[in-house]
Amino acid sequence: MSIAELSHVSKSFGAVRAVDDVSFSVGKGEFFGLLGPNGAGKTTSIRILLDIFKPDQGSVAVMGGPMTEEKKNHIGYMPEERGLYQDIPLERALAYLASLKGLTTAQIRARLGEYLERFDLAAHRKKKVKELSKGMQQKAQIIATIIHHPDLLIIDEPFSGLDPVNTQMVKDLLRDLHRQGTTIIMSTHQMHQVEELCQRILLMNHGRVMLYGPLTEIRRRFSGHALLVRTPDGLPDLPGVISVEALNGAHRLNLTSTATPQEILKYLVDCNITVEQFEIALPTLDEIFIRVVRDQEQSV
Amino acid sequence: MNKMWRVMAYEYSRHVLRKRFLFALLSVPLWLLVMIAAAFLAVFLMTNRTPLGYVDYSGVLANPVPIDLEEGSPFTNIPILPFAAEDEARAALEAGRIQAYYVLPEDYLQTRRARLVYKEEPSSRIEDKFSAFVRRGLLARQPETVAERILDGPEFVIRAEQEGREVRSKEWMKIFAPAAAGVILATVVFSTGGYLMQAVVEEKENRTMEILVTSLSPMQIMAGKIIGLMAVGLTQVFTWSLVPAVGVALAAAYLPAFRASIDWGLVGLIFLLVMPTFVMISALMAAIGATVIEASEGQQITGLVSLPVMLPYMLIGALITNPGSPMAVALSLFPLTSALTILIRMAVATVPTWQIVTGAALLIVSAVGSLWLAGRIFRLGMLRYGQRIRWRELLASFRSAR
Repeated sequence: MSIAELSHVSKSFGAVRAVDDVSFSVGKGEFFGLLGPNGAGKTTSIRILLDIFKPDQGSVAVMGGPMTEEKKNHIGYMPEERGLYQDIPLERALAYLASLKGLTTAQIRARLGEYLERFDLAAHRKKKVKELSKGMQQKAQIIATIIHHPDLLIIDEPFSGLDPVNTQMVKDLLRDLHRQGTTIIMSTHQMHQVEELCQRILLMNHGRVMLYGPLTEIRRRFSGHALLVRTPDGLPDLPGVISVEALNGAHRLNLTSTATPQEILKYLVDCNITVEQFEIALPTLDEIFIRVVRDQEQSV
Repeated sequence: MNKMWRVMAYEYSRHVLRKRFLFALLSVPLWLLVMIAAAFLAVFLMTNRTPLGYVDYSGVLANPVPIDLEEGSPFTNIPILPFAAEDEARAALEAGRIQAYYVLPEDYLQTRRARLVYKEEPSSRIEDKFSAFVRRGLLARQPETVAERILDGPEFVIRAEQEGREVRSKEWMKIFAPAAAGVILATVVFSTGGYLMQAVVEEKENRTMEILVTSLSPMQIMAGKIIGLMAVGLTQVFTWSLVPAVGVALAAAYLPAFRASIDWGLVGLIFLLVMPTFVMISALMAAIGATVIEASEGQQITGLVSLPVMLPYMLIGALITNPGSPMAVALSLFPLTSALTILIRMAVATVPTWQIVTGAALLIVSAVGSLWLAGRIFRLGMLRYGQRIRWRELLASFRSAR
C-alpha cells in the first residue's frame, strides 16, 4: 500500500521549472531515498508532497488522499534549512512544536525527557536555542521531528552538520524507527548514506526523474560485464577476460560478451586458485549518478 | 486544544513574558501613579486645613445644614465654625484657630454681599466651600428633592431631532469615550501590528515557518497569531487604562463631575468599529511580514498601512470644525480610516446611523477580505528566503484561488 504518491507533478517558479513531470510512490514501511544534486528539485517535490506548495500540474496523495490537518499529526518533517525558535529555552521550543503535532502536555513531558536524555541534551534544556552548538541544534531538530512518533518521516539532508559519532547515532535511530514500522523518505546527495539505508530510490536532476526503483536492481542494471575477485594468489591468464584492474586489494575482471561468471569461477577452481571473494562487480551509486548526469548533459 | 489556540497561547506568553514588554507595560501605569500621587501630595501640602469661621447677622444660617464630604476630598475638607459676634471671630483669627471668617450682614439677602476677613489670603477653595454652605442654608426650608435639583445646577441637553441622539453636558463620558477609544486603537495598531509583522519575519528568518506549516494550516497560524497579539494589545490597554480608571473611580467618590454611568451601547459600538479594524490591520501586517526579507524592510512598508489609519488624527481639526463635511463622510466609509473618523466625529457631533452602519459593514467585509488576501500572500511568501514576491505571482495566485 502506498503512503505517499506523486503523479506527473510539475511546478515552476517564474521561468524556472523546478519539478518536471515527476512521479513516484512510497510504500508503507519503506526506507526511500530521494537523490540528486543541489537544485535537482528534491526539496520542491517534498514541499509539494507536504502541501506546502501546490503543484501546477499533476496530483498528490498522502496516506490515501489529499493532505488534511489530521494527517499532519502523523507526519514528521525535518527541512534542509533547520528552523527552531532561537530566543527561547530549548525545552520550551520543543514542547511548543510537539504541541502543534497534537501531543498532550503529559505526553510531551514524558517523551521530551526521554529524548533529551537519549540525545545528550538534558543538561542544556534550559539554555536558549541560540546558545547551543550547531550539532546540538541539529539534534534538537531531530527530536522535534520524531517526538510525536510519526508514521511517515520525511528528512532532508539529515546528516549535514553532524560529526561522525552523531552521524552514526542518527543512522541507528533511523534504522530503529524503520524497524518499528515508520516509513522514511530521505532526501540527500550523500550517495553512500543511501546505499547503506535505503531500499528504493528516485534519482532526480534538473527537476526530472532520472532513475527510479529498487536500489539493487538499479545497480545491477548499471553493472558492466565484470567480476570482482579477491585472492591471495596471483591470477593466471583467464579465457574470456579482456582486462584486469586492481581495485582496493581485489581484481576487477572485464569479460568478453560471451564469457559467463560460472565459466570463470570453474576455471579458477580448476587452477587451484584460492578464492576469498567472488561477485558480480556492481557500480556504486556515485558512479551511477555521475554516469546518468553526464549522459543527460551530453544528450542536452 | 485546537492548534490555533496553542499558537495564540504561545504568541501571547512569548510577548507578555519578555522583559522589555513587561517594562513597557508597567512603566506607563507606574509613571501615571507617580504623577497622580504627586498631584495629591501637592494639593495636600498646599491646602490650609485650619477651620473657616463665619458670623451670620442675616439669619440665613440660623439652622446650618452641614456640608457632606462630597463637596471636598479628605485632603481639602475644612471645618466651618459659627461665631456669634465678629469680635469673637477676630479673636479666633488672631489666635490662629481659624484661617479666615466671613461676615454675612443683616441685609445679606438684599445685597448678596458677604465680607471675608483674613490675615493671609486663603485659597479660592475657601470661597467655593462657603458659597456651597450658604446655598444649602438658603435652601434649608425647601423640600430635599427641590434643594438637590437646584444645587445640581443647570444641565444643557443637545438633541438631534432626526437621529434621536442627545448629549448632556454632564455626560462627559459620551465625549471622552470615543476619543479615548481612538487613542487605544492607535496604540494597539502601532504596537501589536508591529509585533505581528516581526513575529512572521523572524519565523521566516529562522526557518521555523516551514515546520509550522507542516503541523497546521497557514490560516490557523495567521488566526492564532492575530488573536494572540490582539490579546497582548488588550493586556497593554487594560493595564494602562486601569490606573486612570481607578483614578476616575476615586475622583468620582468625591467629585460629582466625575460620576458617569457606563453607556454599554457606546462601548458595543466602539468594539464593533475597533475589532474589525484591528483584525484587518493585523492581517495586512502579517502579509507584509511574509513578503519581506528582513524586519527592518517590513517596518518601512508598515507605514503604508499605519499612515492611512492615523490620517483622521492628522485631519482632526477639519473633522471637529466640520464633522458633516463630504471629506468626513468619505473617511467614515473608507475601511482604513472609518473607525477613527467615526469615533472623532461622535465626540463632537451626531453621526448619521446609516454612515455608522455602512462604515461598520464595510469594515467587517474588509477585515474578512484582508484575512483571505493575507492568507494567499502568506502562503506564497512564507518560504521565500532572500526573494521578494512579484506582483505577477500574486495576481496569478489570486486568479487560481477563484
